[in-house]
Amino acid sequence: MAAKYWVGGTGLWSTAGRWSTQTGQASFVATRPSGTNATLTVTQVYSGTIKSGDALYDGAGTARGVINQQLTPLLGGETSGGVGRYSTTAASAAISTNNQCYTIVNASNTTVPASANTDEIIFDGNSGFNFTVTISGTSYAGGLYIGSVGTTPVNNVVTTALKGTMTLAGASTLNLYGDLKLPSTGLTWTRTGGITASGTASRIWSSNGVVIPEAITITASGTIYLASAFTCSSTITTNTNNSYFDLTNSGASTGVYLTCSSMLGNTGRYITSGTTGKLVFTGTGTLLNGSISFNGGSVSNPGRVLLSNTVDTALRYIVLPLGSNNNFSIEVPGGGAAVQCNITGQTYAAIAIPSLNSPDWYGSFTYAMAASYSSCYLTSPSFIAPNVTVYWTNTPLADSITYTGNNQFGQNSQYIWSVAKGVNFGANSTFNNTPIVAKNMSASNIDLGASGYITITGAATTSEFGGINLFGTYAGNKTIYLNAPYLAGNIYYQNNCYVGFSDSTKLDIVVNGNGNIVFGPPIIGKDSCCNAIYAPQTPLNSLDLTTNAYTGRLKGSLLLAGDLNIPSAVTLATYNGSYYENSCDITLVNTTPINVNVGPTVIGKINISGTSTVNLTAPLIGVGYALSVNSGTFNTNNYTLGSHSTFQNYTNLECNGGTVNLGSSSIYGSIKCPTDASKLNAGTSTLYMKGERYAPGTYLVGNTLPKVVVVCGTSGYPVNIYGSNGTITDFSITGEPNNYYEGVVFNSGITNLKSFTTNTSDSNLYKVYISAADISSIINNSSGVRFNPRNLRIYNSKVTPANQWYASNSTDSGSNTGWIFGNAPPIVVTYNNSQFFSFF
Amino acid sequence: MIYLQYEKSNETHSFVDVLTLEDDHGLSDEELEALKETRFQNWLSALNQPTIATIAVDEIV
Repeated sequence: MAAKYWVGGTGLWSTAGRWSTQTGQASFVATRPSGTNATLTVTQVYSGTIKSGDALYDGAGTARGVINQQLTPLLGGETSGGVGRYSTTAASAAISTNNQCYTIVNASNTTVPASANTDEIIFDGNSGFNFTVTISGTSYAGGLYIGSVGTTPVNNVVTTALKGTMTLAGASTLNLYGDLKLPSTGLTWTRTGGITASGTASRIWSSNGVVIPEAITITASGTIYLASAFTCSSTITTNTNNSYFDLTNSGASTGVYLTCSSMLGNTGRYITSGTTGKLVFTGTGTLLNGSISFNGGSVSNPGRVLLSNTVDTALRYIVLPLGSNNNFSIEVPGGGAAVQCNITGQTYAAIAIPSLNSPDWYGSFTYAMAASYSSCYLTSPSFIAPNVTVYWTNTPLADSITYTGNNQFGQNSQYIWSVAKGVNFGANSTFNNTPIVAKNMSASNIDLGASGYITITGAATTSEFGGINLFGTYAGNKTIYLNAPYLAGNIYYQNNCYVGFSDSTKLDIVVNGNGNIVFGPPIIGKDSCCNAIYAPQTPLNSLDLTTNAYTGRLKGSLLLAGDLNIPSAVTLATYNGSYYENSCDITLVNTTPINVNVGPTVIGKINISGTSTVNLTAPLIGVGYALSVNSGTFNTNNYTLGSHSTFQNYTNLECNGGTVNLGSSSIYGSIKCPTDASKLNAGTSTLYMKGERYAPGTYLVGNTLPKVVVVCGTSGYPVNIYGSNGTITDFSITGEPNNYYEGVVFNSGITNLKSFTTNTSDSNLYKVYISAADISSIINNSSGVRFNPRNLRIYNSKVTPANQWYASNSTDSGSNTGWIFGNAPPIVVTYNNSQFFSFF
Repeated sequence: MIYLQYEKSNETHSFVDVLTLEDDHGLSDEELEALKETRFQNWLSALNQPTIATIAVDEIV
């Protein structure tokens, strides 16, 4: 390796006579007339000393003989070798007026830097004055030192600042095998032929503020150390080898900026950026393809990528290959009025990650709009390709990130974010069955912030939403607003999140946390809202479907620790034409008193399994399958259970444990007390029963019901009474005259049946097994209340004690024991030693 | 040599660079600040420029 000095000012890089291997050449302005022995007149010397024996060249690089000797100076006071007159060896051609000439000390070493050489190429104060060097053919430099004051690393050449200015022009490739050191002033770089950084040596690039306007291709395997911010307004392409950049080489620097239009090529990039270094992309289209690793892949100190061009509205792409280790954040600045204007352009895109096989990206997306622009948007289209996982780990500076255009999220892609602000997905967003996943990264909690939220708006026909998955620990209650009628999806929901739905949204919810779900206006309409609630793991704080929740559907199951409020028409199951399926089981696991308000058309099961009190605040007329009390205390507060207008025995009050206080409520359905574990305080309530095929019947074990009314219908299925040692104080059958088909079945020993009346004209009573231990006292009680079934057709019925059961105006259909068909004898009541007779 | 790291910013962008100076550079504080500002402005002007797609005509003397 040798040093190669540029001499003589303006010229072509490929001109042999412009180069020297020795310093000491002179650069000056001179003229000479024609003639073999004409005198060279030097009018200005820029650098060096004119000496005898030096080869003389004119400004075009043409040899003009050799300097012989200095003649008498033209101007007084000049020193030897400067301005004056010189004789030269024979040279017939004239040198035109004020030509910028130069000398070369050793004319035998004027070769152009050779192919693949490692020469140190030097342009400095001895190279000319206000000159232009043009690279007109593929050229080579081991290291390129232009006006950089210092010493070259190999040949220890002391280089000086430029004299005047230098322009580096041309359109041919420059192969650079080593350093690139430029001056902070005096150099204009206009060439565009492309630089290829080759070789294996590590190198230092010190552009000192000079913007490199041409593409740079990196094939070098050594590290490129930046001693100052490096700006290339074209593309940096990394080929052949992994590329290494170190932005922290500049003395005490903790990292400078590396700026380029884009960084292409599919090799890996390994960048040491320190704490302040940043990779800045000024271009559009594909900004980055291939993997990129910052600071050794550190997650705690990820790189910083800035997409700076806020003027150009073209789409941007970042393509991350499968299996790469990418750890960087992306920042898109907002700012001034002009920038704001362009950001809101309809075709602007902030970021796109279109790779089909991209890996996880550990970084963040920061949209740092100015505080004065609270409505900055990242307008569409943004595209998250299939199988891409995007982690949002930083808090955006904006109050929210809003997508307003044709955002696309590929199938099986994921959004995983822990932003402290909201994210809005705007109109026409297409999710392609893509879930949005939010979960904590490492030890960080996912936090949507005090006012964090997600808003999704858009048309149902263009928005297909995969779902929202929330994991991790959340601080406080959070809100997710889903405003659009998305077609499908799941919300996986955990821990203190607050989910609010607006408009008709069809989503599945997997509730794994104790947050709140609130359906806000105009809510889950059109039977396409929240498709299902599934799989509870921890209690939900509350479920409130109050506002305009009129046609939605909930399926699955959930745990609820707080109030249940579904006053409007929301179905918790689907009716397949024969029976209800996919019912939503809501299990109340409250530890403090809660209120329940369930509307008229809710179909499903409610389990009361908490340790505290559950209070009805309105008639519970929508539970179609069962209300099961397993623990705690259930107070009807005298409100009705079930609906007379839609009477059916699917409404089954199950008393499996705890305390049930019925007060004066009317219960339409059945009451099942399979054990005496539950304390049933029936109060003055009335149980209305109706025969149904799937009727569970009323089951009493040691329990007492004050009044049971069988309402005859036409289903042909009987009302069943089960259990043992139960007491029904007042049992009656009622109904329309022709609705007598259902009948009543006492399946086992209800031992205390203290009143039995009918007011139907004709009713079935069969399979009756009645054991009324105190029936005689009823018949003979002082109030005159009589056991008086009438208008019955009795079949296969056995009553005890025998011969005390009178069925007046009734028919013996066979297999009966103990009945007396006919009018009972009058009851004799003694009062003040007088006897009174009562007749049926 | 002296390595003088500096950061300059406007309402939209911040920029980190290093001035490499001789020990006896002789520049005043004002001159140093002007140099920083020039480099910052050069960088800003490069940010929003469209990618160069044409090749400049060589100047051959």
